[in-house]
Amino acid sequence: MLSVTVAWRNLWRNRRRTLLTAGAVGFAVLLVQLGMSFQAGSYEPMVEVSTRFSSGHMQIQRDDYSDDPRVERFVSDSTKLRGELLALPAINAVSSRTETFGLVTKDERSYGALVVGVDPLVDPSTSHLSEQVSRGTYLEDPNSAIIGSALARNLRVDVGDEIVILCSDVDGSVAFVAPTVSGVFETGNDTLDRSLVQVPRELINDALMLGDGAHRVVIMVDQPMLPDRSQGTIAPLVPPTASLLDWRELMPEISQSIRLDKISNGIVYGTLTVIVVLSIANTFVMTMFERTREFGMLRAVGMRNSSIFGMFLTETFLMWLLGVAIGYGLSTCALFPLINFGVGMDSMGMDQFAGLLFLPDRIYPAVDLKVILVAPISIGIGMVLSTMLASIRLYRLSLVDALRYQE
Amino acid sequence: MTDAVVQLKDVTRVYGQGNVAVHALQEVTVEIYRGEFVCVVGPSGCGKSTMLHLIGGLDSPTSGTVTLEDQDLSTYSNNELSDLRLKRMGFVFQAFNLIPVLSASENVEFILQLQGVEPKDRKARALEVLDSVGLADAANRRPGELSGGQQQRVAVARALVGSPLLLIADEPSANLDSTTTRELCELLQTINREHRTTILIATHDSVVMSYSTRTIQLEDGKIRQADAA
Ligand SMILES: Nc1ncnc2c1ncn2[C@@H]1O[C@H](COP(=O)(O)OP(=O)(O)OP(=O)(O)O)[C@@H](O)[C@H]1O
Ligand SMILES: [Mg+2]
Repeated sequence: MLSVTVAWRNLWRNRRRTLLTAGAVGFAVLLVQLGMSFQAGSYEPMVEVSTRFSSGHMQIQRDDYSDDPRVERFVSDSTKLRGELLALPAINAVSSRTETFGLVTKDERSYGALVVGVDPLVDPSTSHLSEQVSRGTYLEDPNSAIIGSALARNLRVDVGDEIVILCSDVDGSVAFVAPTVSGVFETGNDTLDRSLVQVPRELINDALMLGDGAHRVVIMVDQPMLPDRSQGTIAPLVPPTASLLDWRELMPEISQSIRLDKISNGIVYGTLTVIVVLSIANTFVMTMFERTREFGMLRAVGMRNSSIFGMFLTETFLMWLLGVAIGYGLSTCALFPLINFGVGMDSMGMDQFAGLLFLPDRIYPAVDLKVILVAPISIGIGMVLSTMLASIRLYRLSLVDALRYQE
Repeated sequence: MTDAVVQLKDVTRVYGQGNVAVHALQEVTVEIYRGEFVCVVGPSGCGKSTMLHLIGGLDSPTSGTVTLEDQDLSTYSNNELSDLRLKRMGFVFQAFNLIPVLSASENVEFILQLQGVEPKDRKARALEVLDSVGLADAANRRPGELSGGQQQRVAVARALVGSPLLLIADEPSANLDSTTTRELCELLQTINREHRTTILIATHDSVVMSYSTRTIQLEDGKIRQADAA
């Protein structure tokens, strides 16, 4: 017990140095926790926003569809499959979509577009598109269509105009539909605005002779960030010739940018930790020199090197506790309001990129065990190593040299 | 088996090598007996501290043997030497004897803790021994709040608390005035007489020498004259 007292009081022998060191630990903990919680908080909304543009969290497709998306490669009986999927507890929403490339024509103008058939009552639960209709209405009529704003401009069509969509059916014969434009959407995403048309699935399925087939059965789950967990429960329902893909495969650019973000931030946190730990190591080594005589005395009165080292480790541990307490205090003060109110992208000057980068309007930092523990543990390990480094002197210096040491 | 507590046989201690080699002690043979109050005297650099360090197992001889109660110290491991110092010896140095962040009684208790004394007994033992050196009132003061003489007496108290066989002091009075030196010496003499604790002091101070039962004179690392006990 007395050795803990000694360690604790030793910390306060050089109050300023201890406070600076503990402050550095605390500040590093604060920075890493702030950064990590914002990171952790941004991924889920980013996935949420980006998957709701089109892909959804997961999809069931025919095995060969993603390599070569041909009309005849569809999953049949999609309504039955949807019902079975919805019965699973981990699933929030399911929407079947038919998809084909078509030529959209109005008068003498024609543009190629991706024509997607959706169930108008169901699809809004998996996609934001219905909310992005800026003129007119979403698909309300069985023979309606919504089209991207740029495409509408190019075709010179507006709400109420009839368009003709030419495509080929499952047998390769030409098919067409002629819906009336009920709405024009503006997503902010160029590709979608320029080349997407949505029509009711029944309309396009009849024309293509797909029956109840769908090219993509889009699934929204409870925990999109843990896709492996949902996959296990969904897998038994996937038809034999089809496969289940999650957002990481459907939107590789998103999962890659998350990976890249994690790596680059990891490098920043790692560098920060190394800098803090090096300055702590420097302090410890200096302390060792200053206290050489004291160690000589302690050894002379019968204390073992290992006990002196133990005393040092105790000091390190107390210093660490102090620093981590400061860090937790600071980050609680900083994170508490942020968790409740979030940070708007506009305040970071990021709003103009939000649509482009699939970023949400507001980010709420997310605190999990990793955020809480990573910084304290890595700094703690660094501090123990620093203590060991400084203590090499304890073992190398002969006792008489320590006793004769002049500061 | 002899009556000698400490025996040095042909002890040589050389620091450094070649041209810069310093023969701090050369072929010293000497015995110190139980209950003696021995002063090691001689000019600066003659090897007094070196001799004390060798006897205390803080340093080891280049050649020759140092024995404590007939045990050759060279057969002890570092940790065994630590334990030996903890339980059989007490040290008092010129300065920096105490742990600065602990009070006088805590300094004594710290040694008791290292010695494995039960926590409940420590406080009482520490106060008892501080009382015996006349410092009962200063028990709760830290070294920085004590005078030089008081600090040395705390160091003596700490050295004594384990009832050591041998008390080694290296110029304990160097920072003290003559009155305080006398008080310290009288304290040491009392301990020497009452507990038959063997005392070995390196000193320049004639006041200290006057309390000794024997002096060992060193010159250039050799013994010049050793009075019979
Ligand atoms: N670590 C060392 N390296 C080299 N020389 C040393 C070392 N320690 C002591 N010496 C030398 O050994 C000799 C004896 O030193 P020692 O300290 O034993 O003398 P001393 O009698 O205690 O002197 P003082 O009265 O000044 O304390 C001196 O010449 C000293 O310079
Ligand atoms: Mg000396």
